[in-house]
Amino acid sequence: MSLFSKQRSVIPGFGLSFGFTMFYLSLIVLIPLSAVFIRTSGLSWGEFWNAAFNARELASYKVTFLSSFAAAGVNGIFGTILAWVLVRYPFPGRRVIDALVDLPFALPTAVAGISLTAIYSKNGWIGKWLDPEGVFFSVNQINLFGLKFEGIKVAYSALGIFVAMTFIGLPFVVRTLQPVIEELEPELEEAASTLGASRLQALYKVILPQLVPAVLTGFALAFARALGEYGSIVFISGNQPNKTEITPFRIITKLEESNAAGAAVPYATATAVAVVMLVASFVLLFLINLLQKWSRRHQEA
Amino acid sequence: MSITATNITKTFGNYTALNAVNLHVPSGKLIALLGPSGSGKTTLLRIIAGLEFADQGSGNILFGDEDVTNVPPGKRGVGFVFQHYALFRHLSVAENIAFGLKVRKRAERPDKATIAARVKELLHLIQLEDLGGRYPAQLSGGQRQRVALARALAVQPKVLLLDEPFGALDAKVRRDLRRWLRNFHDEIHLTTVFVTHDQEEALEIADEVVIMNQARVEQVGIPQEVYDRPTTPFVHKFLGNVNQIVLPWSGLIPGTNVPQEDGIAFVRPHDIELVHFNTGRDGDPAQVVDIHAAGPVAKVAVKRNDGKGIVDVELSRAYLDQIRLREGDHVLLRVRRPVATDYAI
Amino acid sequence: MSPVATTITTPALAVDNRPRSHIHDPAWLRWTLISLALLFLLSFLLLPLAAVFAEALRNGIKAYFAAFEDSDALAAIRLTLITTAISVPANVVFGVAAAWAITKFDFRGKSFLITLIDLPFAVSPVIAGLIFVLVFGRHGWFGPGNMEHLFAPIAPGFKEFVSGYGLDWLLGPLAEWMNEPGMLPVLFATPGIVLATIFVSFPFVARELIPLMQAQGRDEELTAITLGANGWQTFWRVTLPNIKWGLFYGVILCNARAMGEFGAVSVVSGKIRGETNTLPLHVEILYNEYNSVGAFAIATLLAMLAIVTLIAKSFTEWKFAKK
Repeated sequence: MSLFSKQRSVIPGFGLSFGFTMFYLSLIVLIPLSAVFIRTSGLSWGEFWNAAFNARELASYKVTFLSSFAAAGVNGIFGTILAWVLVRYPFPGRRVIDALVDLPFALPTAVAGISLTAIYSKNGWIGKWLDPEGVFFSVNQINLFGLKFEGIKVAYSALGIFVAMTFIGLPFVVRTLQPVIEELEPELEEAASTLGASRLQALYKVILPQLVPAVLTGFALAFARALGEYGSIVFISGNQPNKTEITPFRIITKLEESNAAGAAVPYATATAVAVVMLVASFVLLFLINLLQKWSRRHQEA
Repeated sequence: MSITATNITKTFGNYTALNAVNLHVPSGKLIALLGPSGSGKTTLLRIIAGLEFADQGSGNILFGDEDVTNVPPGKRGVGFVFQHYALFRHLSVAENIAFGLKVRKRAERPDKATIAARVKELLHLIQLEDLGGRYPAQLSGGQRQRVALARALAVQPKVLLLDEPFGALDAKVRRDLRRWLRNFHDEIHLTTVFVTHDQEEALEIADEVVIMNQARVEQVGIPQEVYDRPTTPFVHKFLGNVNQIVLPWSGLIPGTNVPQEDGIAFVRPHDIELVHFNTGRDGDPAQVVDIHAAGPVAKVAVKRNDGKGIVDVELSRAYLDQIRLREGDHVLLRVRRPVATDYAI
Repeated sequence: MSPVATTITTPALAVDNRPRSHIHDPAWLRWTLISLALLFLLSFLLLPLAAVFAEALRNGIKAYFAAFEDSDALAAIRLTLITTAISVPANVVFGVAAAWAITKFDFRGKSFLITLIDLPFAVSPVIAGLIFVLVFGRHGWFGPGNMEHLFAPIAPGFKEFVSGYGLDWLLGPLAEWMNEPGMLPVLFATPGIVLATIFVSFPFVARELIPLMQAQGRDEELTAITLGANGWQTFWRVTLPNIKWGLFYGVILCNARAMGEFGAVSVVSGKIRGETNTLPLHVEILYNEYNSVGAFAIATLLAMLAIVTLIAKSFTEWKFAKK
């Protein structure tokens, strides 16, 4: 049997619905996406290497991957706490908080971007207390055990990238964990307590291990989202070459450069970087699928 | 209208759901397709309905004399009731029942008043006159089942097909509803096939029982016949409790056909007579190991003296009290009547 | 099923009222965790939302409303609405068709198809824009002035193929049409913006409907068919009423993404003021011109869209939970 061959069915409309689905999918996704690879294949291996792995690109991969990893890690910790609190502890306003978790999905990224920049720049609500040029550190210095501390720059630094990535990645961990915590069997905790475990021991030794696959899945999802994110980061990062240029920003820059310069294979220097990103995304997607399978098995066991 | 299925084979990949099955349902009868899960009974029902298709090149389905093998389900004239009823949850009971009439082409569609009258009539038939405005979520399981039935009947089908009609109900409702279905069938005399895995249900209400196992029909007959004279070991084991008695066994009586010395006789527990050893009658010597006397029928487990296993015997409480049976008593066992069939395994 | 999509579109479970274990966490632990969670939420989520409004009103209410008197802002609003009005319905039709094919039939390659539908979630929005530049841009397959490049990378023998079938007469007009400057302005024009928006927002409806319709099974459709309904009657009278809340939920998410998309649109739009700027792009332009109040004023529209989205989402979840 070939791919997409169908069993006979009395429900009508397979031809129409499947045909339309494939047509739409090809037109919107498959053909355009294949263009990235086809265009890049016009480059020689050396040209590809130069385009995708020169020092400036490498710097962008570094800052993108490291910030994504750190942001996903912070989300892994606080997202777990948030999910636990939202499922297990009734407190006033819980429904509102629960709805608010989806804000990063609903708020356009550009809006998040300029807003975060405003908050963390030297005059912003948080920035003025942290930035070296803010109202606090411009006049004060903290001396801690002989270590001088002159404030930290968030906006227009790698830290800003991390903050934006944390913002957009938060819902992934919370939304992955919530159903898993809901499904936890109270019997296990009860069993632990009848066996003499303290509540903290039960949390640490019985509940947490059960959540590990879901936390890792949420972490990976947040990580994947952060890697590709553009709108919320590009304002706060400052885009300094070799320092705070994220990879999606590099793709756009290269696209504009190539448009102007009239290269041998137009746009190919941009598509080379895009290919690297796509491969990374697909690998992540594959890992996430494996994680989910593991997580489901874990839950069923 | 009679249903005839000839040489139906259905495979799903490597799995054979039906293997060259033949079936004839006489017009106006209530037939049970009985079998364990995976025996192919639901698949057969769905093929009769036209919801699934037999393998290419395998047999055909006839309604009366008409070959409906390639007729789509909507034009076959079948009423099909799913195990979980599949009521349209956004429609009221009355709207559910009227659905089949309302979707007809304008030329064939009855007018509104006719539809309303038909719905009312059907609501009366299923004894839910007052519930036409309710939604499925507001009904009990038994009520939903009846609404699904009325909805199927509204289009005046030639045959009625029910998939595990009582499967999702609790025991009490189940008993009531199956008696109701029997009476209902006696009123309307519509050829009806229902699928069940419950032998008690099949034997109680069906005119004829079709017993299926592993993609084949094992036996067809009226309930008493299949119960008393099973033709295969499977049917014997599937319909009620049965002792598998290792032969030779001196509890058999003349008239029983015993072809092999080392075979196994299938004897139902209530077909065994038990007397005290000291009566000196014919029978197989054994010793009582356990007596369960709660309820009208006492269950007695008896160990054969020749060491060839335990035999279960069912006795009336009255008889048990009369002979004052105790655990440890020595007894003689004998079948009440000739064992109709036995098998060498 | 792809996890990415599931996470985004799975309705948050409603507050669970099942009787729970009598075991409770100690109060100090409970309140420590609640405080930590709320603090994190406040600083990372609520603060950015509040800052949008604070920054927009920094120079008073007058300055705020002045930002909307700009004709470019109105053009941006109009373009965003047009883009959404095309891409959301298109994605609804696609989502329903895909969910119907996937849940009502058994065929090989189904999980592969589901993965394909999820693909846009895994792709950076910037790349989503890039691919349409490659197809419709300079030297693109369907780009203006590049008939020679049309299909060239994939089928060098395209011309021979076409003439082999005696279809030469097609080539001329096709080439003319493609070469006509401004004849098919996809890139740096509304069609390109719509395509990029469709790409980034198209999985939402399908991903919402597939699990829902899978859970509902096929019995109701089959019943309708045995009762004599045809395919469209079955869909309109049985399937659609059953999935309407799921569909609504998908539309809300799809709409939010379509209106708010930045990265993909910014690549294909060309950012021509008053012509190819959507709301988020207009925000960027104002911001880069140091018109902070103007940028944030426009941004409040999008922030309100987000708030409405969250409310509608919660409402739908509440509806779901009631069922």
